Amino acid sequence: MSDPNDVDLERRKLLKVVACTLGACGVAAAVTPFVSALWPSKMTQAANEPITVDIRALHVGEMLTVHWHAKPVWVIRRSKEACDELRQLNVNLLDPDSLVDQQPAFAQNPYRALRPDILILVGLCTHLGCIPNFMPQALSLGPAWEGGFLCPCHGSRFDLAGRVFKHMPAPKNLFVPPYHFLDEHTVVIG
Amino acid sequence: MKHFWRQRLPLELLIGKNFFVPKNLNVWYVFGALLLLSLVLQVITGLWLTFFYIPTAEQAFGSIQQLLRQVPCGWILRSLHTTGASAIVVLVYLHLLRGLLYRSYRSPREVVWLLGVVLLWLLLLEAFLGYLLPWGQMSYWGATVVTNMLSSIPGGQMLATWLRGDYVVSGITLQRFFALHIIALPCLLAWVIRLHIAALHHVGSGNPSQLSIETRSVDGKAPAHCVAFYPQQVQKECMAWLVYLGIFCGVVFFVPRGFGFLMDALNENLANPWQTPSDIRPLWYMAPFYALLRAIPSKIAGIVAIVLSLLSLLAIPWLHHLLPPCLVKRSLKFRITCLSVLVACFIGLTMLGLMPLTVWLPSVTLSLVAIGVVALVLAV
Ligand code: HEM
Ligand code: FES
Repeated sequence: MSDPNDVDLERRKLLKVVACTLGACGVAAAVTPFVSALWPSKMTQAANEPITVDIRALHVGEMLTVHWHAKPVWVIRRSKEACDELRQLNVNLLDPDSLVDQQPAFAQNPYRALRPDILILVGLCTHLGCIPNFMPQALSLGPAWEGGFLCPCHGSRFDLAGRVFKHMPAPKNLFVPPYHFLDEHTVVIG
Repeated sequence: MKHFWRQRLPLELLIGKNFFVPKNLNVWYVFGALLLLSLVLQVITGLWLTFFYIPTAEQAFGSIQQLLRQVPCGWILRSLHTTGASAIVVLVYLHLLRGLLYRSYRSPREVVWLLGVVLLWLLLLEAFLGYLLPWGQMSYWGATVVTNMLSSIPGGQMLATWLRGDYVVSGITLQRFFALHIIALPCLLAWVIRLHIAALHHVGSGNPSQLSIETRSVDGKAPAHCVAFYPQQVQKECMAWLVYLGIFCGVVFFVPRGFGFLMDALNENLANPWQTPSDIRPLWYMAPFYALLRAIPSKIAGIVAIVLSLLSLLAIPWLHHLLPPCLVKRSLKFRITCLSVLVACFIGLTMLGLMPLTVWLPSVTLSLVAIGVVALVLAV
């Protein structure tokens, strides 16, 4: 056995450097499968096809909820008066002109829609993802309420075009998904 | 025979025979031991729940209903576990309050405090993960809101998707949270508790008079002003365990729902990803954080406030250096007053978080936070 005091420090240092480097590479390689496995699986990713919705039976003031990308999408038929209202009430909204990228270019108008009477929105609050309640009745939430959406989780309010009001927890307007009309009564979402 | 074991197992080390504590430790010093007992009970009742629970979106809710209705004594097991969760949070706050009252966090026990804060975070995380498992409406929407909090940081949307394993909270998320709740977090908790106690034994316990007492023995006999941990302190702690178990069983058998605080009827509806209930109420121990979120009219600021409230506990051992010299010496009476104000604010915040949203709620919430912070700074 060699003398314990007779340690070759240079070789020790080399050993340490090699062990640490290889060890670090090993850890990085070992972590990869653990991290990757937690991403959505192929099956979860697959459920993302466009959907076709028939809106013939949707009356004025009514809302239809369909499922797209595992998210609720609302289709709402607005009255003529409600559409006129949307052009006026602007001062209390955070982003009245829809400048923030929360809609396809075609929906960057006061109605946030392709057709003023048909509103299509992803029904998830831009705060923390709850589903707001549809409160179409004017005055149902106080004297200034013209109809819109109220999120039950932290009280964010949106108007009938899904635009968020000022001083709410939600930072952005509701999201408008891409969509187009096949004919007057049929819309394709996605 | 005894000799055989003594030579091969550090029995005396295990029971803390050569470990000493100040002899004036009062009732405030039993909450650590009560926490240990409650955590062991959670592991046992949790194991029994796992025998019956099925962690899938289709069956989770039903399997718990079945446990309650069909399994003999099933409701007792569940009640022990849910009541235990709330009890642990109460105990941890009392334990923390002891720390503030007797300034246990001051030198040389800073690291004990820091590890304690980490334990508080882990406990809240463990409770949050467990709350998804019954797959009720509050479970579902609570998990949605909390996982979406990540989306306020850059790249956080991706991180949230990675954590959930899906674009929204789903059965995949449920299975993950189950695994984390029953394996990952309990193991992590056990390790950090070990460190917390190792750090404490290394520097010795503090005491109510806040004088520095040497607890290390040079000759195996008790140092001045100290008693042996075993059997003296252990006897006190056994007494505390009995009293605590009495109260705990009283709650489990006579008020199992805890007036809606322990089990909320709102969560007895099956999770519905297509409908957020219009009545939203968090668990009582998440309510102060929920109140913050509702009171602050900005997404990022609301989340920053929650994170800060949890992080700022880390600064407490060093906070008194920031006070002006005139405040260095404060009487115990003054500090008790400040702590009482702090506790009142905290309870107030909890109650506000449990109330429906009204116009005056945000301003009252923010005032309580402001008063509480000042009271805390004056008390450290
Ligand atoms: C899982 C949760 C916890 C467990 C099981 C635990 C356990 C213990 C135990 C057994 C003791 C010794 C007995 C006693 O003084 O009560 C202790 C002391 C202590 N704990 Fe904890 N604790 C936990 C959480 C916390 C938290 C959240 C804090 C504060 C943020 C904290 C801060 C302290 C301090 C400062 C001491 C030293 C007290 C002194 O000697 O003066 N602990 N803990
Ligand atoms: S999730 Fe809608 S207000 Fe918070």
